Amino acid sequence: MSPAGPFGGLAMIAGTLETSLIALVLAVIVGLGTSIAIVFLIPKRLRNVVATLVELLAAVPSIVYGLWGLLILAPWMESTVNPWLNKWPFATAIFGSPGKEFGTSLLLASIVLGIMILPTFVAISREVIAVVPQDLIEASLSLGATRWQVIRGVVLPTAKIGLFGATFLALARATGETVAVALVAGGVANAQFHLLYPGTSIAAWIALTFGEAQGNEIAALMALGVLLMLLNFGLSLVSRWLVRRQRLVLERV
Amino acid sequence: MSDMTELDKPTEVDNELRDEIRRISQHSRARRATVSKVMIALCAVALVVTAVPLVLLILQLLEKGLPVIDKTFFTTLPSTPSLIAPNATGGVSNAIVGSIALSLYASVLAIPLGVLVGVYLAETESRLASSLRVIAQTMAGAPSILMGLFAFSFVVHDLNIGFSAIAGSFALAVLMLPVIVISTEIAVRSVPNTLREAGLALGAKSHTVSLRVVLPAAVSGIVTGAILAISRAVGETAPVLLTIAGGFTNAWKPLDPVSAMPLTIFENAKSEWPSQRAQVWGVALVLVAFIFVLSLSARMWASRKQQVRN
Amino acid sequence: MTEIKSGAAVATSADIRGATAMQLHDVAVSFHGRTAVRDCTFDIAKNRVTSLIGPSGSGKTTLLRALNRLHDLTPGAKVSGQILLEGTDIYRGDITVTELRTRVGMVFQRPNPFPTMSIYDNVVSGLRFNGIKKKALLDEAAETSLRAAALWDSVESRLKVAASNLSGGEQQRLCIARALAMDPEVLLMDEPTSALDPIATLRIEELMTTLKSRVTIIIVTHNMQQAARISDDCAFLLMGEDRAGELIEFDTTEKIFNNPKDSRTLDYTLGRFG
Repeated sequence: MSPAGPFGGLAMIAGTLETSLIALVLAVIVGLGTSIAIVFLIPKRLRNVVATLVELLAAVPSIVYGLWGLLILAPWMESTVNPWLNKWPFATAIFGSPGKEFGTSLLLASIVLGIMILPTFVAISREVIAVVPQDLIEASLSLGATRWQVIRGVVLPTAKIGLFGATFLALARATGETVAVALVAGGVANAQFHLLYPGTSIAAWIALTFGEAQGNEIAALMALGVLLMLLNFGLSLVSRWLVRRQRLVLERV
Repeated sequence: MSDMTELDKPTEVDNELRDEIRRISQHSRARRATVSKVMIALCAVALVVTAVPLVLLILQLLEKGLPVIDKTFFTTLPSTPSLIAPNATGGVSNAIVGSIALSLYASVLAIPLGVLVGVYLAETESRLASSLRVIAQTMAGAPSILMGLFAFSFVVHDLNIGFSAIAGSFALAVLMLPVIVISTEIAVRSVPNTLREAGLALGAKSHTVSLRVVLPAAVSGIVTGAILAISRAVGETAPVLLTIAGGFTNAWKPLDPVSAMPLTIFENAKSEWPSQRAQVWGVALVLVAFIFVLSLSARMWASRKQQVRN
Repeated sequence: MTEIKSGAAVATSADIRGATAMQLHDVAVSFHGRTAVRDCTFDIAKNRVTSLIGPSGSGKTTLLRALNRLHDLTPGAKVSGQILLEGTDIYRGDITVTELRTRVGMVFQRPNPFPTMSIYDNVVSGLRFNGIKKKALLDEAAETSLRAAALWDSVESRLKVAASNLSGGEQQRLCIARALAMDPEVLLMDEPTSALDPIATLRIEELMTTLKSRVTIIIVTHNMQQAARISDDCAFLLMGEDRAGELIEFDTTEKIFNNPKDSRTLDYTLGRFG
């Protein structure tokens, strides 16, 4: 673990944004499909079972995801995924030089974060999609829309604001996630952004270095904490505002 | 009907327009059906992609966790492996005792206060109530490391209590508080108004009604919320990482430095000893099993009560 | 009772009424094996308004939704018997459901314009679903169908405004315009005025009588006066002992209300039950 240098926060801030945003993209794409599948493909009787499962998975502590990422995914990344990724064009620019990459990396942290925020995103987006009134769906079907056109043309636009709310909430979760990132990101505070190099985030850096920190370092970590708090509160305010607006949209229907 | 001149004219079908529309829609029909099938299939794939890592995680937790759990795992203190005895990991009794103590103290700190605030929010409409509500909602999503930082600077540092179970449970209590407040408010609000009015009609004061009539009626919802809050707190690592210091004894008193299951996982996951890394899976399995039992029982409690009421 | 449902009786009234838009033959709908409505055999005449009447639970709405295969969505739903549209069984294997639904449109109980779309986008939504992108075509269809729904004059200047700004009655007429834009042969209406005030209801009723020159209308209604005022033919359904709805009588509205063959029909139309 390298020292924090002159208490510069750039590496942590960048690492936080980088891992959270990649995680968010993964989680939103997969999560949206999952929510649609849960609402429209799974028989009603099974839906509650799936909902319970999703909630249980959201209850798995982050340390367990971190452990799994560190002891199972990291070796697999190192032996299989990283060499494969390095074969692609521009791989060096995106992922870093072959041979210098690690199993624990910003990319692994993003993937683990993505898996962790998926249940959060699905729990809300599933609900938002499920409350789109049935008669809007039937109206579009009665106009000759295919099932996908109903989803694309009516369900998703009607649920749009609530889905943005779910996205912001998932982003807030991702930016605040601590120990999982501390375990799988590699824990190196270098201001470089190749995805397969080790990195860190604000929260992870506080967790990793607080125990040994002295004097000024503690103050610097506290300042990072305040920054994290502002970021998180901002995101959660936006998210709740959006979910409230979604409710208004549905009331008008 | 005679005054409805516009309506009286029978409307004629424009055949040219109809034919053109029919032609285009016929022409695009096969393509639209294919697109729909492909996209729906992709959604099913997404469901599988979501399920696979989560199922794998649970299976591997069982596969790697079960073999390392035995009697000594629960009853003995940890020991450090050495070259002579590389498998001498001991047990994790310190972590289990510490986790139980932490959840207990945190519950004592958070549940009474949380329930009171929740009842207050449900029973009054004031500016204070709505700002408390916003604070609770914002805190519910706040990163847990912040609770750790707060508890460190307030309890460990300012109050000069030092690394201790009470500092850790303070951090966890701050984490649990919003969950309890929000679930209590929802539970109290769902108590039928007729019950409240019956109490008032008998001449009781409004705060007496709140505490003697409404609170007992809302108790199942409050218990559910409290169990969920405990199940969330017991798995948290970041708040205790900064506050309890850990240790290799079965310490449990409020002012002692204690250990905790998540902390043991965090510290031993990177151990150089394979035996310690293997043992960590056992700790993780016990932790997850504990959390699942708690949240499933909370869920079942809630749905059972719902059925009774209906 | 049997002779009422016999082919001969239907044929006679069909002769009076001219060409046939849809034919129902021994139609039954069941959910998970439990029958909701059965024994429905009658013809729906072209360019007339046919109303389905009967008390709650008699399966009117269930039967209506079978006519554009909306039950396809419901798990466990099964339709038996034959429903012919222009002589073709709509449940035949090679029928494209999306195409069928462009030919048999539907208007719902509650005005349900798409909340995220403007008035214009709502009207042309069916066309867009069906792959029509040409602006000129969309504009023309929008104007034609808004005119047909007697809404053009009041919304011409605010086509880009959100549909939710319209009043309840206007919203329902917008939904009618939306269904008309695809130029369906048949328009199904499921209690289209039950959520509207009396004046808006009257406007919709007047609209139906003018619309039947271009589209065959089948309407479910709870309101006896409405059925008597607007429909040309009338099917009376009633819940049997097994709690499944069945067709009691089908005839011209005039006969159903003045001279029904079945005493239960008379009881119902006189408001003795239901």
